[in-house]
Amino acid sequence: MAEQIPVAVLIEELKSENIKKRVNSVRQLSTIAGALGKDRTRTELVPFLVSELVEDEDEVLAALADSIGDFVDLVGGPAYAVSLLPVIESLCYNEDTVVRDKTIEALKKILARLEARRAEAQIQAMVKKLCTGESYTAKSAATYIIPIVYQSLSPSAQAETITLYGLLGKDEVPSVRKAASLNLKDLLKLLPTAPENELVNMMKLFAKDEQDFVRFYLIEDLLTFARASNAQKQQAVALPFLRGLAEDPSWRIRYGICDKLSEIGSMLGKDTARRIFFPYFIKYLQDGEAELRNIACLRMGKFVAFLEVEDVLQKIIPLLKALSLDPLNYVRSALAGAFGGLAAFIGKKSSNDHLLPIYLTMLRDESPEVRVGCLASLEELSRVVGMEVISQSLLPTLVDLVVDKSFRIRVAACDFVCVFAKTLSDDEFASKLSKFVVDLINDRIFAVRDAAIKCLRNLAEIKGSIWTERNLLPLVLSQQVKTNYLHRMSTLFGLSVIIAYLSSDAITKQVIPVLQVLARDQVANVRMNVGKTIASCFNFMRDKSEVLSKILSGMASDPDVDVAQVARDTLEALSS
Amino acid sequence: MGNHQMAQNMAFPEWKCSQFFGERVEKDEVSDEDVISALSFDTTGNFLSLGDKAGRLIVFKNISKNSSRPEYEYLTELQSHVKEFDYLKSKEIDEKINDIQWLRPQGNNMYILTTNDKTIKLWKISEKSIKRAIPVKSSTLKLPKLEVIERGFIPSLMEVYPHLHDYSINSVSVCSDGEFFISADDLSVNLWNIERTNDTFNIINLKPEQIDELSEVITAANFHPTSNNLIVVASSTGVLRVADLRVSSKCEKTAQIFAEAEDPASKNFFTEIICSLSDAVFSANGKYIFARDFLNVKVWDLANTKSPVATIPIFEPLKSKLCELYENECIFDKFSISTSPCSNYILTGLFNNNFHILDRTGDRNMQFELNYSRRTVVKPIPKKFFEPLGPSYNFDRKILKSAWHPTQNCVAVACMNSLFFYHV
Repeated sequence: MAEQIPVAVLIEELKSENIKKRVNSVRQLSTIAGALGKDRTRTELVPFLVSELVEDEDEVLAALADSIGDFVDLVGGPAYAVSLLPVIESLCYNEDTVVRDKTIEALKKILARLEARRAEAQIQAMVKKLCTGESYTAKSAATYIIPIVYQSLSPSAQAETITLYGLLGKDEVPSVRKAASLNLKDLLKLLPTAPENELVNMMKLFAKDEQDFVRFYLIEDLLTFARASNAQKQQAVALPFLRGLAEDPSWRIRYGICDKLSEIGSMLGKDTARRIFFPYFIKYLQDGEAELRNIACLRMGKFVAFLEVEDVLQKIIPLLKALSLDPLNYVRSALAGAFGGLAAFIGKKSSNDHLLPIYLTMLRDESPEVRVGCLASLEELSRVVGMEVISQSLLPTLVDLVVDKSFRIRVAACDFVCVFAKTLSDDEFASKLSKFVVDLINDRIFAVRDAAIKCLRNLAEIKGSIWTERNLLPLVLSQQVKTNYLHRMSTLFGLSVIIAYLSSDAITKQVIPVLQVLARDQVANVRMNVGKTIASCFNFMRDKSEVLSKILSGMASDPDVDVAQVARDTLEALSS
Repeated sequence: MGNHQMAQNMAFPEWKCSQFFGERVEKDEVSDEDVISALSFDTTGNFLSLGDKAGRLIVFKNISKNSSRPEYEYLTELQSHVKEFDYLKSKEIDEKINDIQWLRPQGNNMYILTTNDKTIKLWKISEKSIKRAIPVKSSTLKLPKLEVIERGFIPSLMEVYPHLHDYSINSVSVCSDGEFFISADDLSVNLWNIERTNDTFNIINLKPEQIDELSEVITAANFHPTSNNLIVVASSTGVLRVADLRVSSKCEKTAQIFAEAEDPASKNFFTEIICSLSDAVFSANGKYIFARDFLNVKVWDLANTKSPVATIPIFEPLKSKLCELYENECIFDKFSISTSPCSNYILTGLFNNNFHILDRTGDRNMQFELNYSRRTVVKPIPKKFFEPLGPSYNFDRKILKSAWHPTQNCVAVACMNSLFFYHV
């Protein structure tokens, strides 16, 4: 418990030489304010904060911004909330983004309690000061503030604020224009209250701006505009802008458009998506810049929903072969992930004819990253074309992935196995997959063993009790005789995940004996985990409490302190 | 009127030495620490910073009321970098400052990027009143009363951009929009967002598949003065690359290559070494690239990648000393190059207390000699100049770092531990 520091000391430490003490005092400003009382807080503390603290380090200012948002009551309630605005204003001159974000949050809290009309003059004055000074951080901060104060202002004040925002959008300092473009969407959300013409003119300016990020943020602005507009406006206003951006010479802008193609489609309608943006999509799939090919592949699955099957067959399919041979791993991997969505869209016959051959080749790609990328499509694809066709190619792939040098690939292999297993019958699982599962549960890296165990849980859930008992239980139990104690512990972890799916009979006949054996294991860690396993599985073994208690009592007097403790704790939990 | 005629008609401005800081000492007496290793004017020209081998950043301020003739005075200094030890490679990381770049100032705050071999730092220097609380004994709660002790320049470290370069960083350059900067080491150029220290984007990587196939290293990289998407990269093979960040995310393949065809007739043992570019900058108007190899300044027009519009030998007599330069290793010295604000003149340094101001067409080449008595010693170097260099030619007194004021005809040149200012 932190020591209660007397308020006098807290006050003194507001200007301590030690920054940690200053931060601590600032964090407890509400305590100080409470001790001083409302009047003194308003007349002495707040001015002190403005004149003395706002030149302090960023860490102190961030704490100040955190505290000041809750000060409304401490200065005497909503009628006096206006007195806090000078603190907010001073904080806006700081260039640290954390400080700025917290300042905006604080302002939002204060505004929520403020009596807007009465405070209008002060709010307006603050905004004007921030917009017209020399400081470019203050101007950037103003672009965050204007959208949130807009609605509390009278119409004439609103008009002035929009004019000020417009000036910021033309400022000579690029970071100010960037902030103006970034926050325009918050003004657009206020349509129709906000003046549409002015905002559209601002967007026109941004579309021609030299700076890439000013144009980049315009994409989100346009989406917000489209959301608030009717179909006619979308076509007449938003669409031309979006087309311009889709052809922008800067690859980052084209990337931004490609990233949001589905949103654009939803907003502007299927017809526009097909007629106008589909040709761009085709271009992006063949763009010289790899990042663009990558994002196009990543978004393909969702975007096809806006097309006709014919479009896919005639325009996209011919490009797949070349993309599957792209020099960059991550592009091929992204492509592999798109096959599921494509297959679902074009149906079984076309998938069989066009997609399957390429997919099967990618399953044997030299890069493990690409093979793992195929995983993303596996389920959907197998649902469309049937698993039998895929499984023949899948098995050799799995063999490689399960023994890959990189543990991350092996973790991904667990997921593969999982998906694959879902579609197999008992016999097939036994003959084909159980060896993989065993290998993965016994991997030398914990992360892989852990992923494999999680996989077991998924399998048990999908396949149900009988399958689990017949296939997973023997697998899990077979680990108990391994020489490496870590593998024996896998038995316990595995049991705790599948216990829910086991019949009472299986538990009595197979699980309990294993617990008894392992409770006498020579490695303490194993014995301790028996106790933990019983504790976590008890709900499924309530009727066996007698025999379980016996196991636990035996361990309660174990020479190892931890083992005994866990056993005792578990016994206690059992009896309650 | 063509450029050529215009340059001839303009009288070459008359330069005078206006100030210097430092004393004349013998080479052995100069403390290695004090050697100036980086030099940069800020964006307004009101401040000048220099970095030295001891990792210090020193700032000078223009105190002149006369707007046409700046006068600089020492303002403040801070310890930017200290010696570090790289545990993974068991190597010491030198604290020498390799490059300095200023960001746009704001109010009373200056922002400066400095770098040593591995770590880039962003410093903020604020002019603040240093206050102290007056101790007061009181029974009631009272807010601290503060008294001003003095006004001073308080440095604070704003960002540290971590070791994300495999090799030694040779330059940093800030984008015209003030949001990004690039850092270059021997084989790669990275793009950073000023506010993010977690990651950087590699935009050029010249590392070959097999490291023994290495034939080219990067010697300098700079942003275009007004276009935020163009950078120039100079290499040890005399090749310039101009990369457009809008065209692709990785620019090795899409960068424009500015290279002259090699003339096999003029090749000799030293050609490979002396064609290495030590520095390259865009002209102030962004239309040209000024590049410096060991013996020449080359002026390239951005529209012509096949050959430079001018190749200006700086000081021909050096050609006769190449053997000696190789022996004392001065042939590997890297001299910086700067553009005048009007883009018509170029500044670069040399040995023997000399620096040169040349005009862009190569018609005029003035050689200045530093001295500690504020005299201005200058002589024009005509084309095809020859003069025997006697034993008094001093290779130790070299001007590696020099800089031109961003808006006025004023230059700062550094020789070992001394700083000189010349103005028109």
